[in-house]
Amino acid sequence: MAKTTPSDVLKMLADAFEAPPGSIGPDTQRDEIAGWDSMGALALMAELDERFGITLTADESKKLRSVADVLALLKRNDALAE
Amino acid sequence: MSQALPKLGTTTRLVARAAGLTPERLVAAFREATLDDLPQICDLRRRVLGKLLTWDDSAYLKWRYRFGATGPGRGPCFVVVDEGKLLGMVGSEQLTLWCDGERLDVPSLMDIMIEPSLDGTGLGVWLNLMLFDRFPLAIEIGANPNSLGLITRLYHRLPNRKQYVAPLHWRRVLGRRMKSRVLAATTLPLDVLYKGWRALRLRGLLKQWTHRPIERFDASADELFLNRLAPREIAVERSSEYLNWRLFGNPRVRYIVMGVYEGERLIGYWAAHLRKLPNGVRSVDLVDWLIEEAAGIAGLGRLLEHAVRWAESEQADYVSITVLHQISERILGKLGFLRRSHEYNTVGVHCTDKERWPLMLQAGRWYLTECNTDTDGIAVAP
Repeated sequence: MAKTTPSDVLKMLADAFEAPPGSIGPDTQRDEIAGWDSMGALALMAELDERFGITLTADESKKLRSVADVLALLKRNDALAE
Repeated sequence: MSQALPKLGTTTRLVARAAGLTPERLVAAFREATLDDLPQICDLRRRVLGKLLTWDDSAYLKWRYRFGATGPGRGPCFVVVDEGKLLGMVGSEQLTLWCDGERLDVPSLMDIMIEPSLDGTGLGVWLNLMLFDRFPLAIEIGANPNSLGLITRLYHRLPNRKQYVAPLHWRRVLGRRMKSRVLAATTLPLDVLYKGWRALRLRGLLKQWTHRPIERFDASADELFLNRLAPREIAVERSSEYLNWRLFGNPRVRYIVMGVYEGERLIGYWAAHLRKLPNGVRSVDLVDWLIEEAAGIAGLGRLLEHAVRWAESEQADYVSITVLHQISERILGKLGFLRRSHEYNTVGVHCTDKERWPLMLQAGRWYLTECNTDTDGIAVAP
């Protein structure tokens, strides 16, 4: 599986959460992203599944509270290029 | 609706996995609720609503939804129950909408609630998609932050319902906000001017009408609806049966309904809820109104003014109306109501055949009052 870069992840998240391009950074918290609601969480699950084969349980989805958490998840699953 | 709808098949797979189920088990868990599900439904609502739940919820739910074949409810409550455990629910009220002369059965979806341990699985989205698969037309009327994202991204979003407020006692309303009696006293001239202006506007206008409380609608209401103002708008059918259920059967709230008559003929009505808020403010919320076409827009203005007069007689501090209806909104502005927008008073339309029902997506055609929501006046002060 090809690895992704942090900047591509930010673009992926902006797309999933329907956020303006460039509005999401590595330190952005979930509460700061209006589109990271139930729809956004589902869109994120779909992206992680389709692009990286990563499945999320309910607990894992709830524990993602920030962009940094998503990046860490991708790193743990060996999907993030350094 | 900003992006393409998520596909039901893909969503089923993702949500099932997140919830620890197989897709087949998730789909099999979706059904209409029966009375046997009511205890778990009440328990879920108690845990989610917390202190907001101040009514007999079992009685309310049995009024609002149809559990099995019996009961007064006007639509089923759909549940997801796996191995006897309730995972989520969504309620529906089967509305009869009149759209440009065509009568349509359209469910209004509401009360979507997910077991908190399954937050983040997308189960709420999935419930909507399951109902979209079942119904070619549906509406969802939102009133809180939880529905904003769903309605924005799953539905065709109409303009928000707007709240219009007419303060009747500026001194009392502003006094509470100013926290200074001296400052509040400076608003006394406002009260005097406002009342004088109202008295002048109503002078002679209501002479030919009489007003009587309605405690039960009869066939005259059916007649009134057929002869209503602006009959080609999209409106919920206000049959006598529907109005009696909606305005007199709700165990959660008591409405006052006033009929407007020319002689013995019912030509209009308004319905209101008188609330006393925790800060002592008395509010009259106008939740529904209808006038015959012959009375025209001017008649609608008179009807709304009469409701305001009644609110004054009840020592209310203000009148509040939340509505999506161009005609009413123009009149409310002229009557001195102040408009307030609320981000969460959303309205979404699901329509699978935009060529067949194009008018459903046009904001200017809709006539929606609080009668068509499930808020029942359980709201915050403006």
